[in-house]
Amino acid sequence: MFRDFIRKTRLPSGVDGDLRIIEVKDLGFKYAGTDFYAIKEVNLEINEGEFVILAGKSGCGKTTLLRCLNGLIPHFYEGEFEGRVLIDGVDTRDCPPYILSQKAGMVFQNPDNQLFALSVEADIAFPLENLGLPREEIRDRVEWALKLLKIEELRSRSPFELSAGQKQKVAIASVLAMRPKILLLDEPTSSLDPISAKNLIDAIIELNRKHRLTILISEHRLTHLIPHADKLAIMDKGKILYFDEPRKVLKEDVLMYGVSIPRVVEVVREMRKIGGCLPFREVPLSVDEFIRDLRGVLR
Amino acid sequence: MAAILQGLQFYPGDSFIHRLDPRAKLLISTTFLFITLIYVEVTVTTIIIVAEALLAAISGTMRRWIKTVYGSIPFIVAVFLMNYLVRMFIPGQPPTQVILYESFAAAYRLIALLASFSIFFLTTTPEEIGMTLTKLKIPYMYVFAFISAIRFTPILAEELQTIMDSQRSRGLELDKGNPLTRLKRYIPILVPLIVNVLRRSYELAEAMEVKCFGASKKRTYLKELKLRPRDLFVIILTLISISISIYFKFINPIKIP
Repeated sequence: MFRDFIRKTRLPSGVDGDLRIIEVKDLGFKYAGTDFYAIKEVNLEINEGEFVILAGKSGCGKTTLLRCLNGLIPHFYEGEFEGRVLIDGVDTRDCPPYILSQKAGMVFQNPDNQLFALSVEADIAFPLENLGLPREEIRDRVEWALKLLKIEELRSRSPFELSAGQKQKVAIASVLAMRPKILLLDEPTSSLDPISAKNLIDAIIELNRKHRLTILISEHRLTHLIPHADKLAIMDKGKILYFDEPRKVLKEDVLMYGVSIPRVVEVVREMRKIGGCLPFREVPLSVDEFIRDLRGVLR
Repeated sequence: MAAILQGLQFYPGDSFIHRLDPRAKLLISTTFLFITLIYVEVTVTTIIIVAEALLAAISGTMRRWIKTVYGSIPFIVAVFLMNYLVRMFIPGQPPTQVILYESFAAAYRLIALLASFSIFFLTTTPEEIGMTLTKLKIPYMYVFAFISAIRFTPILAEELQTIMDSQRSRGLELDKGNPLTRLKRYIPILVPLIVNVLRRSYELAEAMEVKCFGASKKRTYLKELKLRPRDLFVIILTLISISISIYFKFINPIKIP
């Protein structure tokens, strides 16, 4: 009966053929024991297959918002909940976290705290075992997840033998083995060195491009992510201030919200201040775009 | 002390013993323990120790195994002295020679006892131990606790080291003074460690929630232990040796030199 329930909730919800996979309406949340709203009046609509970056200072409510999206709030964290969150057409308040985890998988900051088993394979199997799936199904999904993240050769390593970047990939694989449509990542690169961070971000981008996974990632290092993002959300003091295509958002003055924007954006902005010597039509998002635009102007 | 622990840690290898089903190995170690407990004779203890050494040699973990034996010397000396001294002062005891012999036998048995489980732990991965516990029908909650302990102990040890280093760099001296003041100096190390552990446990609980821990009452397993013919062979052999030892001890006692 339990399995039927999972299967039922996993069916596509789009009654009216709606592609909207995340829908947040007037969301507010106050943690128990605090007297301020961690997030307030948040409205968000994300379509299936979109890549969304969530940026803002530490403590601006990014983590709280992500927790709301996969049901940790209100099921795990207590407090005052306002508004509603629909994930794949299901209200998070009516759905237990283990069902929601199969719709929206969450990856946390610290990779060490997400790996429980003593080998990579066992770790990817961990949530599936918890769900009570049949062994063949578990084996297939573990293989699939290993291949997806290109970590097949780590299969029988123990977590102690992995680098932080590899651990984070295993954590992602383990979450994806539950076959969610949405992947939520809460500052996944914060404990990684720049090269592993870039490597991980490349892997995440590929998940979105190749497998059409809806991705919502909260990050401080935007330079590498922005060219691939469909939307950029800037949060401050628990509210979403901007939510649009990155190019449009970056036209605004977002530096004061603790967002480290790509250098090329700053350069173009400074150039404009000096006085329209270089008429860039749009804000370039990467060095490549910048060079291309510059060549066009010089010619 | 550290030497004993080394002998209880998994040591990678690819021997016959390593490949044996962990349940068979557990049975072998338990049998050694059992026989050592029921027989006090030095001869039997020697046979057991030789057998243990033989298994250690086959599995290629001889050096580690010897370390366990070596590390247990303080305990053995303590047991010997306790036995000897206590009995010396109690009236109505046999002559000194007999007391010496019996104290020696008791201490000698301790070697066999401590070394018996060394074989199991040296050749079984923690993951296999976990699977064994599952097979022994121990509730998953406890198996999970066991696996987590193995998983997170090194991480906590690393954290402890970091805290100790940072407190030392702030001028905290840990190695000076009498035991009581030294103990007091550990407070600035324990407090941050405990705070960190609490914070971590919250994050772990969150991650467990996301990974559907406890979602299904009937948990399934990716890997399961399966007995192969050679495991059965070893198990039967071990059961026979248990039966023989029981027979000669309780049913038809014989005099062992």
